[in-house]
Amino acid sequence: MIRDITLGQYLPGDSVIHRLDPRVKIILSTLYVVNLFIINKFIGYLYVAVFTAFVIFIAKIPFKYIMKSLKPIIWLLLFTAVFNVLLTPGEIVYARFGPFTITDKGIYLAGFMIIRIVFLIVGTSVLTLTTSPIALTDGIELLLNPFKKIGVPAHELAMMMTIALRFIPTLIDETDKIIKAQKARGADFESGNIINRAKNLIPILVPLFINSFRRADELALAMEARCYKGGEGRTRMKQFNIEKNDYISIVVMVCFIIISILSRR
Amino acid sequence: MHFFEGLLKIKPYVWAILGALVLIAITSIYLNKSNTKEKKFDTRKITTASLCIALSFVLSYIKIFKLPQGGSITLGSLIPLFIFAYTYGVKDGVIVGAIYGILQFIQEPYIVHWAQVIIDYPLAFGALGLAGLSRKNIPVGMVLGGVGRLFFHVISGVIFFASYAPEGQNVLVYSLVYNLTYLLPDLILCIVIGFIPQFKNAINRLSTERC
Repeated sequence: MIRDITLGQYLPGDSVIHRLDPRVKIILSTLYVVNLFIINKFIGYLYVAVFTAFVIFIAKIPFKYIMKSLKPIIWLLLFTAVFNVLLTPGEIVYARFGPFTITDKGIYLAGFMIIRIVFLIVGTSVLTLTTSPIALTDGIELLLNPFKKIGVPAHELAMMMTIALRFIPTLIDETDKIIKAQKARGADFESGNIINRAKNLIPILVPLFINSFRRADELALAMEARCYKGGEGRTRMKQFNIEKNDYISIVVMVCFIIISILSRR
Repeated sequence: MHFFEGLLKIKPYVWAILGALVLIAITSIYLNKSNTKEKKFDTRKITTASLCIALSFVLSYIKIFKLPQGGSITLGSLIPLFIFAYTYGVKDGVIVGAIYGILQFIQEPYIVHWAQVIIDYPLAFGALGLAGLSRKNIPVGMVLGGVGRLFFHVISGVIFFASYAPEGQNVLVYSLVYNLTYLLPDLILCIVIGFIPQFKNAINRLSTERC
């Protein structure tokens, strides 16, 4: 039932992009997204296409993974396209049926919006495809550190994410076991109306919750027995260092943004 | 020159979002100052929160009912987050919800607008923590959390329509209807489960053990 689950989209590899510092990668991806909103002409997206293709090439991400990341938004793209083509008023009208018109401006806008959404998804997918979830949470913690003063619990946030990621596979196994055990006792999850189904789920949910809470207690005990006491003064086994490649990628991104801004004229 | 002209062109909704973010920041600072004595996150709370997030994640994979337009009813995937908020209160509930949102984003980034990312992930899922407002009655809390989440998804839908669809459409209604179609069934299942006595008893026992 739930065996075929992949967690995250991470594609292990050893390219330059994979080895970049996660902090740098998160910031650069954010800049990339913002940059897509700076661009206001098609020519700008041509630069984006070349840049994105270059990054994908050096990250050695197979093309089919990029396509896979676009799959969930196919309906959204279609919807955007149809909406813009049919409902945008314009000067040159190609066709007209009732309240709908197809105009030059509509087709232009539709194309523009679709390209933007596609690059938004592809750009963020490059981040999640080349960075493991754990590295991402570490990056988020380090980026949030300066905000500790205004009350952002940076360390606790990252700790929770890391533990959650670690325990997802464990809990998947456990859920699977409980479902099988209840099925063996004759439980039926596939028929009846919503109230009956909800009732039938109780024998799964209650043991699952009790087990998870018990696990949380044991884990807390284990952590405290090893002197865990929050983020204060804690050191890391793997230090993140900003290296030559990181600086190069920052420079490349800045150049790319300058080109995009210039393309607005 | 260009930059300042750009500033003038920023749409009202963007200002509204920025205002909301500032408001959230100020309230969080205020909340922080008002109860400095209370320890924020002890180890047990951290591990419980983590396990609740992980459990929500696992349950969200189990789809017991597929809806025609792509949404699905999961096996009450929001219940662990609701229970956490119910046990530890609104503030922690919101933080944990937001973390769940960020993990969802890492799992499958769905991004159409920069503001939409913030609203659809940390804020919408964080709003689930509003369930902690009602610490006597789980179903009431679930409704509060569900409405909070719906509110943010509707706003993000409006932003999407405002930036990708031509003007002059009734965007609020579209966004509301679209979001209701997939949020409502899932929430109803959660609430139905919340009403079942065996479940209620188990949860009450778990949460009184903790506080």
